[in-house]
Amino acid sequence: MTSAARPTFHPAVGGEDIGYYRMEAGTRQLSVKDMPGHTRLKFRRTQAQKSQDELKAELEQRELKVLMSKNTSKASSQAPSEMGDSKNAEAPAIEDVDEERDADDIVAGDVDSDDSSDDEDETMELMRELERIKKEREEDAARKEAEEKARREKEQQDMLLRGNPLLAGSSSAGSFAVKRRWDDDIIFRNQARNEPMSKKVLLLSTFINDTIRNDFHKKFLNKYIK
Amino acid sequence: MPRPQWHAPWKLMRVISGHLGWVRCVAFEPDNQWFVTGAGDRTLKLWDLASGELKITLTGHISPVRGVVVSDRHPYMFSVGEDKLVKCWDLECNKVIRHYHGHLSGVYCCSLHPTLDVLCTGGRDSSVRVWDIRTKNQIFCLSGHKDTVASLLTQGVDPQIISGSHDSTVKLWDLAAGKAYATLTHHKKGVRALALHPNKYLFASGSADNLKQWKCPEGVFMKNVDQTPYRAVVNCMAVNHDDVMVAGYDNGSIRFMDWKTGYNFHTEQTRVQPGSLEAEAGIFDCCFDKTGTRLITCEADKTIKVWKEDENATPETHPIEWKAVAPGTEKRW
Repeated sequence: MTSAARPTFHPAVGGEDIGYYRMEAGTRQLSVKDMPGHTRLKFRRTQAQKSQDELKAELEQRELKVLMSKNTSKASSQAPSEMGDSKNAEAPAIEDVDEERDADDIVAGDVDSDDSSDDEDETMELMRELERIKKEREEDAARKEAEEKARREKEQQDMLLRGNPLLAGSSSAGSFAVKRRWDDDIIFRNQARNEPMSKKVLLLSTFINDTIRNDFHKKFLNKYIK
Repeated sequence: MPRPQWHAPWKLMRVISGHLGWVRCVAFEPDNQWFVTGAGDRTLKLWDLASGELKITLTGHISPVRGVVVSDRHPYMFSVGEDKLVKCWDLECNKVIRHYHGHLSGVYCCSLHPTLDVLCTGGRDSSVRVWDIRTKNQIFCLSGHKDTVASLLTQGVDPQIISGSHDSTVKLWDLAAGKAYATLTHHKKGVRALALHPNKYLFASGSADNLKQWKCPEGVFMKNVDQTPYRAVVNCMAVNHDDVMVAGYDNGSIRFMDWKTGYNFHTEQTRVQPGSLEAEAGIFDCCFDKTGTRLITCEADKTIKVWKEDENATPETHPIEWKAVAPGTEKRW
């Protein structure tokens, strides 16, 4: 066993007469990786050495190209919303067309009036159905609200009864201890409290640049070790 | 100090997050299309420079990757790690095709010779090893440092190998003889960073006490870069063609200096990515791209940051704060 990897004040010192390549009484063992292989060197195809200015121009051109492609991809991702905008802008025109059509319909309705009685029956039925659905929904909402109210009242009652840790017994639920596991990490806690919680910032602030403290690894451990 | 040259301050351009550990090293491809980073998550990742997108992730190391270098002449990439491994990757098939076996402990730095097919690595066994790329054989084991070799440079002219060590010395090596011909003992702390000037025959070394500049063949001391030493551990240095010298520190600050005068024209404190601790700010490696217009820093918050010069800055908006010192009253070392 070599001690070279251990934290020592005096690591092995290399020299001509020590180790694998020692001059006298060298080792007889030959590493497999020292067997002859790839015995011919490859060389790059000789090409005219580019000058500094050429290289610089080339780099700038490539960077510009990357920038352009990024901009176009951004533009294409924005395109749907722009389409939506244009639709809204065109909406009034479409409405105008509808109004014209309605006027035509009225004119047409005068012509064939015998279908109108059937239509009235159907619409009446539909209206009744709609009324029924509306009523059901209102009842549902009222019931839910009542339940919520009852729950809140009960909670408040509980708080009044047991919320004060001084009144409660030492063994009761209310205690001063902060709920934190012994192995909880506090270094990366609440890093971005003052930052606005837009989605991007939220993403950034939850990123922990540590391979064992990050969320992925924690999730992994919770899944397989706990 | 003469009047320093004006440089635009540098600003953050892009943050690349993708590694799961400290990003320890970075290297550029000769065509400037992509760069590669090695990290504490034991992977090497190749990124597109223009878009910052991940091209490929290479696994194979079993401990943090500490150094990486891409060859100019071969389609090869070399990576070293704390697992004592030195690997040669074939970039045409993205596979490890060679191992260089011999380091007794973690390997911390590597450098490729620009003209010879030779790879140099240095590590915790306080030796610099010179490898034949093709045959995987060790050519030299350059011993002489008394502690971990933390930084390494190679160049085509003498000194062909320069190494900085935690024993606070810099050694200049004669590659033909396999011996150190100069040992520079000016530093008081471990020399973690070395940087070659891209077009002058000079190099700079950085340690926690100061950054120093040297003339090349013999290692003649030129000057201390910081007139008022900056109290932090320097991890990396880089110089570009415009005489901008960058030093990255362990506390997350990046200092930009004018090479000629050593004037610090801009200091940047890197900001950790959200979800990191404040203490996770730290620069492990920095590197200019092949044009010298983009700076890549590898950081302790597991991100890679790309910096560029501020185009809107002018000498009027960012003036040089400089006062001429009467000759003869300059501080001397």
